[in-house]
Amino acid sequence: MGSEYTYDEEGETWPFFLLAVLSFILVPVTVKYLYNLRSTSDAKSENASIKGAISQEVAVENAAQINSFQAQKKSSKIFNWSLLFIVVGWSAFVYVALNLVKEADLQGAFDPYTILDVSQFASERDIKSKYRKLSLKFHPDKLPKDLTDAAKQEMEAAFIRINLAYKSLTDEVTRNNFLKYGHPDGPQDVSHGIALPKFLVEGKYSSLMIVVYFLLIGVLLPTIVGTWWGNVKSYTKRGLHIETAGLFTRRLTNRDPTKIYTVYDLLDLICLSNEVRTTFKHLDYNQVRDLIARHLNRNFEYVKTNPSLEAEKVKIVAMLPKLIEGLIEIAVVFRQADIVVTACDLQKSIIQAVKPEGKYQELLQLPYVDRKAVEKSGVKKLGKLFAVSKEEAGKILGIEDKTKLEAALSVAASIGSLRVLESEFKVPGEDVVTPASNAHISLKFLVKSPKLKSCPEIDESRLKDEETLDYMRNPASINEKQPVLPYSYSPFFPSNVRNSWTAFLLSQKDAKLVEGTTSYKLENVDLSNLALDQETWKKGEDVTIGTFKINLAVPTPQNIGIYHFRLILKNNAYFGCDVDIPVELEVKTPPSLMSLKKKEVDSDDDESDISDPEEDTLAGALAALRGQSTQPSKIEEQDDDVSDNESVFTDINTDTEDEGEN
Amino acid sequence: MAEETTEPVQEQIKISIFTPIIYVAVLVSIFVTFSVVYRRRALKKLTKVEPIFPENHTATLYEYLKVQYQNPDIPKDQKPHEKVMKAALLRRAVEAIRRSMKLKENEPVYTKLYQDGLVGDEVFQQYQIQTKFQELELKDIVQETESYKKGWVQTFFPVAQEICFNEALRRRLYALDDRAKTLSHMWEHYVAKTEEVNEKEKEVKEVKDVKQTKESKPEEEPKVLAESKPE
Amino acid sequence: MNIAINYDTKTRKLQLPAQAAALVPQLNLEIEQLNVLTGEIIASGSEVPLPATLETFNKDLSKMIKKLYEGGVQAFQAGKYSEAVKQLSIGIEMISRRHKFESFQGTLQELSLFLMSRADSYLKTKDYLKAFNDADMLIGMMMCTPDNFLRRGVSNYFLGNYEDARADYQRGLSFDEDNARLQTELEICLDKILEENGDYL
Repeated sequence: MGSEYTYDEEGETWPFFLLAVLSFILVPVTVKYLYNLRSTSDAKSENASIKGAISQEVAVENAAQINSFQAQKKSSKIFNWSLLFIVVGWSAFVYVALNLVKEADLQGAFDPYTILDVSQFASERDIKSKYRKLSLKFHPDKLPKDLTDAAKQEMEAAFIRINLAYKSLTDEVTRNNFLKYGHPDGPQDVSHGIALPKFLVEGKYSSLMIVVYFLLIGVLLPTIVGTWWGNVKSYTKRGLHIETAGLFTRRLTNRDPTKIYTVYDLLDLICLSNEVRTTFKHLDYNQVRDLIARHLNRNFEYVKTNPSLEAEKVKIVAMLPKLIEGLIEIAVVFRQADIVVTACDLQKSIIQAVKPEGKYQELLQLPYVDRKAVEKSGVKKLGKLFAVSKEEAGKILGIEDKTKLEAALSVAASIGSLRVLESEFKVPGEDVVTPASNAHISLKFLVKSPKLKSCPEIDESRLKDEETLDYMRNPASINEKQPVLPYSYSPFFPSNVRNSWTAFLLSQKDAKLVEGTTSYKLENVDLSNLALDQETWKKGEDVTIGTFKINLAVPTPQNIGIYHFRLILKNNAYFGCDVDIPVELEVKTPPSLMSLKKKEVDSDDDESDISDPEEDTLAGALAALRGQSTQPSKIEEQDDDVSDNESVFTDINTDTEDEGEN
Repeated sequence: MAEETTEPVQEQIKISIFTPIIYVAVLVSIFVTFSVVYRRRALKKLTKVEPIFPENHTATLYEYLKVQYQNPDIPKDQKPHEKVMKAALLRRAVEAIRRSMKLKENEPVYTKLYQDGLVGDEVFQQYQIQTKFQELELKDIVQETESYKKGWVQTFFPVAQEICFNEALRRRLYALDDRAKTLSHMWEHYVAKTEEVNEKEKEVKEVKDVKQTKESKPEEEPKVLAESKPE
Repeated sequence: MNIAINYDTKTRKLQLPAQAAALVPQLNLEIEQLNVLTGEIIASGSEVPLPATLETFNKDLSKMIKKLYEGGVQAFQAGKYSEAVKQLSIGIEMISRRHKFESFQGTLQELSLFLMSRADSYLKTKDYLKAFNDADMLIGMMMCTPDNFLRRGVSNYFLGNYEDARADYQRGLSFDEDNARLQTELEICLDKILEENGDYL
């Protein structure tokens, strides 16, 4: 027959083809579906296993709407188009597999071991003895006389196969043939099969087939690929609609330097996003803003008067954090710290349903509080609640009911802030931070409940990092060794929000984010300190020290000197536990021994003569800062990108003041 | 084997000579249509994208005045004065400088946004288009200056830049009241409240004055230390 | 452009019809700015505005401004703080009247002096929000002197923004580590933060 095409007349191979195609599509879709399902695991049950999680049940006025929103979200995760697709797909798969796949004819395949019924590792002697036994049984001369012709022929065929098998395992030539071509007789006919019946290709349906082919290749494929690509292109990598991203980018480019951007300005901007506009086409801009304002003021009037609008409110509120995060991400690239910080505050306000104006957010985020009472009390901090008597705390919060007060206070006590013990730039394996090295910021802190006062003395030695291989390779790997943070306590927010802190590094010089840095998430914190009582806390032996390592993508400055930064950690859900600390980076040349090893370190710098080289450079660095002629460095922002109306003023010398005052 | 293969080939040719031609033609035409449609859409999308900067009123205003200035039908005394034209051109230059600087300042920002996939392609394309456009705008302005006074370019741009900075400064100054309003709203700090607070709190002595008048500086600080309790 | 702009040949000023002005406020603002510049060019007397140098800096105005400044400082020293605010505010107003093509550097120097002194006066009159605003503007102009951070920090402190005040003092200290005034104020502020939180060291 030679090389020829054969068609799948009997329907032997196309089911296999179909099964292969089906499984290629079905398996990834199913895996993705199951993964999605898994990721919606219950927040409550997960929080139960995390120490320090807040598990306070609080009745909220719009519980019905929130519950139905969550149920809808849950059911839409289970019952969706991909479920239908998976069910139909797998049924088809099973049907094809059970009914259409015929017993595979594997006669063509030749396996001497199975034929002789010996193991692959059998010795020649075993093979020989087995062959003898079989050939005795199947030898044409030894067959019983009363067999039918058909049976006889079968036996003979079997005998020939046995012979062949034996030869292929013992005879040199046959063995080679078997190894090379898979058959002791040498090369076999190769036939290319088309997994379609012949009538479709050569019969009268051939023209139809061509049409189908063109539709498939020329129309369907480009359309599918086109729409897929279009979809991919209409969302950024972070899942923000590109129109929204464009809007944010334009606004940040054209920001008015004379204007203070408040939480409300950012909220206005977010309400203009494509996501909000297309999802809530039936509401106009002012209605959307009004609904959000109602959320922020914990106004539940619509629960009674207009439940469907209350449901819309829940829906709008639920989609805001993602948009805010998108805005933060873009603002980070613009290095506009004020926008970033304001957006973080907006995020909290949304999640806790607390109005952004004023200074009472810390107390207003608690359940059952009476806003008027809080604002009248003049108390702004959570810690103060635990410095006064319970009755007084109740008065401050405006809660008379004892159990409600307990609930509010227990929530307050569980909002842990980070008490920073140590914050410095470090280079793994070095005692100092060397120029142009890969440093990280090392933060050591205690989680502190507002009810705990003062701070224990912690021995230096407890702050040291173990210099494991993991740490040397990637200091941030330590972060993940701590327990993950629980879901936030946010009864007014319709979705579950995982608690986290986000860190931003600012330059003290221009109060902008440091070039090349991004936002860094702190998601693993051991909260066990929250359960400590004052005495154990003050003693300090049993407190848990938390660590946060921030790997900086940018190398430290080339020049020796002191650089000033400001590290801000914003919590995504709670007020009153942000961190805002100055961090100093002192870049030093390594000790002389080190410099001998490293040849790149400049040669004309003989530190061995000078007892205290830093002081010299320190003064120099400070002078440079004063004179504004700081050397361009990598981590520091360079001042020469004069442009925006504000940075235009950079070239002013600081002498102005002195001149005038003399 | 040779005999076997030649026969079917002859048969195929007999079936249709045009088959491969049609095949290729159809395929090519599909691809061409696809690419044309795709490009047209992309272009349409690009024009739909809002430009980075809002409308440039200075440029429109200048063009408007120029048409009148050069219009022979308008009597000379009705035409805009030459100094008006110069002022308009300066203002146009101020805006052009401001925009160019803004673009230059934000170059790394746009590159990073684009590289990190935080914005769509068209935002970056818009950026590039805008940059080109600003170059042309500056060139155009240079030509315009020459039409009023030879060699004016030399001093023109420094002056325009000075105006640009000075205007930025004045904008900041004029915005002070609005800023105060915004802040008092966000901080819920109202004047009535301040006064209430003021009664109880002690003033803080101020720095520059301390230096200048050489008043007893140490005396002041404890005051702040001890008595600065706004509550 | 479909809107007709009126041109007054005498005053050489453009004007939008009132209706149109309300419709496109941006354009209206632009026209106003153009009119100001035209007036300034005409007033300057030269064919084209000259580049900003010391010579082109309006000396008469400088004298008046200086007088106002001195008057303001004198009032401050005499303890008449609201009088000082008044004088300094007039001075600032006058500075903003300078021709726009005059030296930016010079304007900025004058202005920063006035703003610093006015911020100080506002602190005295307990207009902390206004003091904050002036100090904030100085810092916004990249006048990052420790004193300006002190000004903004103190304003923040009295506005009850203790965390902001702390950040201001700390930023000021990053420019001058040994600034004693900033250090003491920072201490006071940190104590205040503890006190407000019902905490202690």
